[in-house]
Amino acid sequence: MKVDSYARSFEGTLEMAFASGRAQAPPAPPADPAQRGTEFRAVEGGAETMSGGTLLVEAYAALWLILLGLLFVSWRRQSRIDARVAELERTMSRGGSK
Amino acid sequence: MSSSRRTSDIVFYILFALTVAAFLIDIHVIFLQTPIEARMGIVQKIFYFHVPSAYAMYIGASACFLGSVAYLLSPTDARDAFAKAGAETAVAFGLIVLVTGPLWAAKAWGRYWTWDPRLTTSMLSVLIYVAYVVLRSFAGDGQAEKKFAAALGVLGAANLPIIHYSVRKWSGQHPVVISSGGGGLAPGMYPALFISFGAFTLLAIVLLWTQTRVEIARARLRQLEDEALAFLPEVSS
Repeated sequence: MKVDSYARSFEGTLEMAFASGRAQAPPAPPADPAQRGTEFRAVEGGAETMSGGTLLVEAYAALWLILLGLLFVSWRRQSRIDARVAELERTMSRGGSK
Repeated sequence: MSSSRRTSDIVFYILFALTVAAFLIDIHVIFLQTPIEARMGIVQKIFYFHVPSAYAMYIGASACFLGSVAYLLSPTDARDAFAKAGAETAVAFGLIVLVTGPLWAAKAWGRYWTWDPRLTTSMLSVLIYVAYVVLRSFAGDGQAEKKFAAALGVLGAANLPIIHYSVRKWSGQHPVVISSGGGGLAPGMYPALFISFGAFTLLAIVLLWTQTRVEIARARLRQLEDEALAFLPEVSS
């Protein structure tokens, strides 16, 4: 039961996330050339302009990029502290040798 | 290494491991177990890290407020470091809120941004903490600058309740789902939200702790440099 709901959720997630980029089998051509598609129509309401899956991935990427940016700033700050400690050690050792 | 330092390190490592585990479980639950929302579709899953990020921003801002008040009452390097770490944490999570919210809105509202009261007050709050961080980065580490920044940290917190109550007082487009007056979530969506709140709380604490520790180390080093200059003026010159 639980496995079924799990599988449905997973399939649904993948279905919606990759629907726009997935390679689908081409439909069979109509027998009568006059029946072929002759116009493009928007989803009802007309506001459907972008993929929700793409926006979700962009939001998720932004989350981790910002956190990694903070990590990078923190790393740089520690590097500067290390450099100052090394400088202080050199100064102290010069002072001690006099 | 002193015994208290060793204990503190062990607690930090445990906290860090819990944070990593919480995020792994969170990602699993959000993307593989939580149902997709009926009207918005998969983009609604942004909600599970947008709202906890806003909550984590409050944690950072509260830390900045507490550190700033404590510093103004009795200035110490540790209190100043805590306030600064809080502001940096608030900026990081505030930026996440300001990026993920518009990405959700692009799908839900058909536009990235609108001057809704909650959006506007949230952006104002992030700008206040950005100003704090910029001030501390470029204005030096003197007592006057630290006190000025602490005052900004105290005043910046005044905007937090305004963000929270802006939805009730001034209406607007921002959804009200889990606060009072909201319609709530489907039962299958609550686990993801609660785990996200836990994961982001742990992450905020880990970031606060790390940044505070770096700032305290920097303050101690500066003190040692001053002492070395006093003892060894001829060497430093």
